[in-house]
Amino acid sequence: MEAPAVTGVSSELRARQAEWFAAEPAWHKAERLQALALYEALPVPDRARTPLSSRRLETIPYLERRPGPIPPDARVAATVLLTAAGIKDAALTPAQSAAGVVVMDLSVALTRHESLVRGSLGQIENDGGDRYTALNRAFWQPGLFCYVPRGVELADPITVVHWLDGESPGYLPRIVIVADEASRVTVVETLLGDPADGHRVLVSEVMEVDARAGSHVTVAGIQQLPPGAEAFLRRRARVGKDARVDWNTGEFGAALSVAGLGTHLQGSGSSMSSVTVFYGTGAQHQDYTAAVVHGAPHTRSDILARGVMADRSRSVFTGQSVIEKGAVGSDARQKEQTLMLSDQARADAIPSLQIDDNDVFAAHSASAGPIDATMLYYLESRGLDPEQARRVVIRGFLEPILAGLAPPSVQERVRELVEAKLGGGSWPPRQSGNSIRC
Amino acid sequence: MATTPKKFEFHDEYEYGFNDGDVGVLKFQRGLTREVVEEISRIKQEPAWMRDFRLHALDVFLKKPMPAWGGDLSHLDFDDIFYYVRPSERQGRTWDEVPASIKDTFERLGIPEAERKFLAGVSAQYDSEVVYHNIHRELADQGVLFCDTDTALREYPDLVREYFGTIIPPEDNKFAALNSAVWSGGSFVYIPKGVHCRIPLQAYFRINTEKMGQFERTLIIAEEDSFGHYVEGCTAPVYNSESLHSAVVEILVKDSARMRYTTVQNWAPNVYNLVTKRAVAQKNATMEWVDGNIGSKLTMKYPSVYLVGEGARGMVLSIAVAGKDQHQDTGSKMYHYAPNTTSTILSKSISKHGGKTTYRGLVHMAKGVENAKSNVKCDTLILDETSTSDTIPYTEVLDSRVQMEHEATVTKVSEEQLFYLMSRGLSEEEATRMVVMGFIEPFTRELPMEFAVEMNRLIKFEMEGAIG
Repeated sequence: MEAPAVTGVSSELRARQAEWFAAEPAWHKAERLQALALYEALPVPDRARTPLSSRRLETIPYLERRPGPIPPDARVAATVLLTAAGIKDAALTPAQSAAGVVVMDLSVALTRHESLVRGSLGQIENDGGDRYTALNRAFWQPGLFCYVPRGVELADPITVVHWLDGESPGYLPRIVIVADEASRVTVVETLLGDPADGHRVLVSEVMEVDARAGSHVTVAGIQQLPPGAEAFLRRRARVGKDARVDWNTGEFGAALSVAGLGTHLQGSGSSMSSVTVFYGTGAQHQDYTAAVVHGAPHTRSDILARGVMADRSRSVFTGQSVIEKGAVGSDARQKEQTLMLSDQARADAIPSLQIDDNDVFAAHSASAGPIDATMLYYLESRGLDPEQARRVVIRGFLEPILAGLAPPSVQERVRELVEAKLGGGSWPPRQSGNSIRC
Repeated sequence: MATTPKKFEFHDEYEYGFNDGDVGVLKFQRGLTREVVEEISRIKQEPAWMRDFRLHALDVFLKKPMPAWGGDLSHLDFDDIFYYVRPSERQGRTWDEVPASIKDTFERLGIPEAERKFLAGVSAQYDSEVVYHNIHRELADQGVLFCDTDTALREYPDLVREYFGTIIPPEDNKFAALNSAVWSGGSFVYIPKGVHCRIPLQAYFRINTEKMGQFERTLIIAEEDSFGHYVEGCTAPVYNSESLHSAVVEILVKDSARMRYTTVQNWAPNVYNLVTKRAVAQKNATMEWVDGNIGSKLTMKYPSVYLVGEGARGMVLSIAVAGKDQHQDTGSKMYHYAPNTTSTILSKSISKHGGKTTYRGLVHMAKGVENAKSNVKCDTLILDETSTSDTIPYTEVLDSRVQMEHEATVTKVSEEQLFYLMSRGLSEEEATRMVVMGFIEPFTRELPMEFAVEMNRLIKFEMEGAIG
C-alpha cells in the first residue's frame, strides 16, 4: 500500500523521510508517508485566540537535522533522556526490569513489540487534524515506548527528560505509554533545554496513553522550555473500564505553548483528573485545552487549572467536557482561576460543557481577578513589605492546586519554578546539570 | 412576539396578494435582489440616505458568509423568502386555517378571544382600540415618542438618522446586514431627558397598523435620567408561515438612564429566529434585558450591552426552553469598556423531549476598566435522556483590576427533591413541575404580572408528558 496510496507529496520530503527512517518496518513507513501527505495538505492551524500566522512558524527550518551538543550531565537521575539526536539511555531500576517493564526506543519497539505498538501508536491521537501533529506523525524522532505489564505496580516514577540542544531548529518527540490491566505507573516528563540567545525551535510533541482496564496512570509534564521555543504539546489518553488517568501539568517556559490534553473515558467507571498550573511572564503566549469525553456510564472527570498572568503575557484556557448519550451517572467538573498581576496581560477562558444525557452532573466555574487589596493590607499591617506580601498572596493562590500535584518530586519542582517566576529575575533559571530532576 | 402574521405559504403563489395591478408591488417575488431593496425603499417613500443604507447593507449581506457556528442553518434558503409584504395584504387567514394545536394552546392558556384571532393572524390588529388610545395619550403627555420605525422615519427623520444603525452597523453580522437591507416595522421609542415612563411601553399597543414583522427594526433612545420598560412579545404561540424572523434591536441608554427590555418569544416551530440585540450604556446608565425563548425551530440570539460609560450597569436575565426538534442557541454578551462597570448574567435553560439548549456567552474586560465586575451564572436542567445541552461561555480579561466570575451547572431534576415532594403526597409529575417552576422562578419574578401568569401556565403546559 506504500507507494500508490499517497500522491502529491513533495519528492524532496519523501526522500528525506525514506532516508531517515529506512530501518523501520514497512507498515510504519507507510503510515509516516500517509501523515506526510496530510502534513503537506494542512495549513498552519487557525486558532481563534492564538494568532499563529504572525509568529511566522514556517520560517523555522524545523525539518533540518543539525543536533547541537548535549551537556554530559544532562541525564541526572532520569530514567531516559530524549534529544533531537535520539533516545539516550533507558536506565530502569532493577525492580522495574525484573517486573517486565519496557522502556525503550519507540523505533526499536516498532519491530520488537509490534502488536503492542500498532494497537496504540496513532490510535489514540488522530494525527490528521492539525499540521503540526501530522508533522510529528510523519517525522517523529526521538520516540519512547513504555509498557507496564498486567498487574505490575511501579512505586518509582519513570522519569523522562527532553533536552533541546541549542542548535536543532525542530524537535518532534513521540511517546507511547501502555499500562496493561490493573497496573499502576507514574511517568514524569520535563521539557527543558539550552537557552541559547535568539535560537528559535519548533517543538511538536505527541504523547499517547493507553490505560487499560483497572490501571492507574499518572502523567506529569513540566514545561520549562527555552524562551525561543514555539511548542505544540499534545497528550492523549484512552481510559478503559475502572481505569484512571491523572494529568499534572506545570507550564512555565517557551515563547508559545499550545498544549492540549485529551482524555477519552471509554470504559464504564473510568475517571480522569487534570491539574494545571501556569505562570505567564514577559510576552509568553499560552494556549491550553483540557478536553474529556465521557463515553461510558459512571465516568468522572475533574479539570482544575490555576494560573498567574504577569507582564504582557497572554493565556487562553479552553475546557471541554463532553458527556455522550448513554454515559449515565457521569460527573464532569471544571474549575479555572486566573490571578491577574498586570494590566498588560490578558486571560481568556472558555469552559464549555456539551451534555447529551440527562442522568448526569456537570458544572464549571471560571474566575479572574487581581490580588485582593484587603489581603495585602492585612499582610502589610503584620509587618511584611509590599513585595513580600504580594508573593505570599500569589503563593497562597497557587498552593491548593500545587498541593494536589503528583508525584511529590513534581510538586517540589513546580514550586521551584513558581519561585523563579515570582522573583522576576532571569527566566528561565539557568540549568546546571544538577538541577535537572524529576 | 406581537406580530402580524403573513399569509404566504411558500407553495401557493399570489393567492392573496400582489395582483392588484400595482406594478411596483408585482415585482415582489421570492428572493433578494438590488431591485427588491430599491423597491421597498421606493414604496415606503424613504429618503435617499435610507435607500443607500439599505443598498450598502445588501452588499454586506451578500459578501458575508453564513455563520459556521451555532445552530444548523443549512435548510435556510434565502431565495425562498418574501422580503416585503404590504400591511394591507397581510390579512385574509380565516380561523379555520389555524392549526388545531395552536387553537388548543390558546384555549389552555386562557387567551382572550380577540387576542387569539390577532395572534393567529386572523385579525391584523389587536382588537383593543380603547386600551391603546389611553396608553398612547398617557405616554404622549409625558413627551414620549412611541411609534413604528417606518412612521418615525417620516415624522422624526433627524432623530432616526442620528441613531439608526449606529449601535448595530450592517457589518456586524450577516443577519444584521439582511435586516438592514429589508427592514420593515419594529418600534421607535424616544424617552426625553428626566422622563420616567409610568406605564410599560408595550409593542402590542403601539399606535399604527404597521405591526412587527419578519425583519423588524427597533430603535430605543433613553435620554439622560430617564426610565422606560419596553415589553415585546407574548407567551402565547405566534403562528406564522414565514420561516425566517431576523430582527435588529438597537438601544442607547444615556447618562444615568435606565432601560429594561422584556421579551418572550414563542414562535411557531418552523421559524428560524436570528436576532441581533444590542444596547449601549453610557455613564451610570443601566440596561436590563429580560429575555425568554420558548418557541421557534432555531433561535440564535445573544442580547448584549456595551458598557461604555463609567459606572454603567448591564443585566441579562434569560430562560430558554427547548422541546422536540428545537434548538435554543442563546446567551448574552457584556463588553466592559469603562471603569466601575458591572454586569450580571443569569441564564436558565431547560431541554426536554429531544430539544437542545446552548448557552453561548461572552464577557469582555477591556484594558483600563478598573474595578469592573462581572458575574455570570448558567444553570441547565435536562429533563429526559433524549435531550441535550451545551454551555460555551467565553471570557476575555485584559486588565488585572477587575473581577470576573462564571459558573454553570447541568443537571437533571434532583431525585432528592422529587423524593421529598413525593413523600409529601405529590405525584411525580406535580413534583417535577414544582421543581421546574422553582428553577425558573428568578426569571418569572421579573416579568410583568400578566406575562408571569401566562408564563407559568405555559410552562405547566410544556411540561406535560415530560415524565416517563
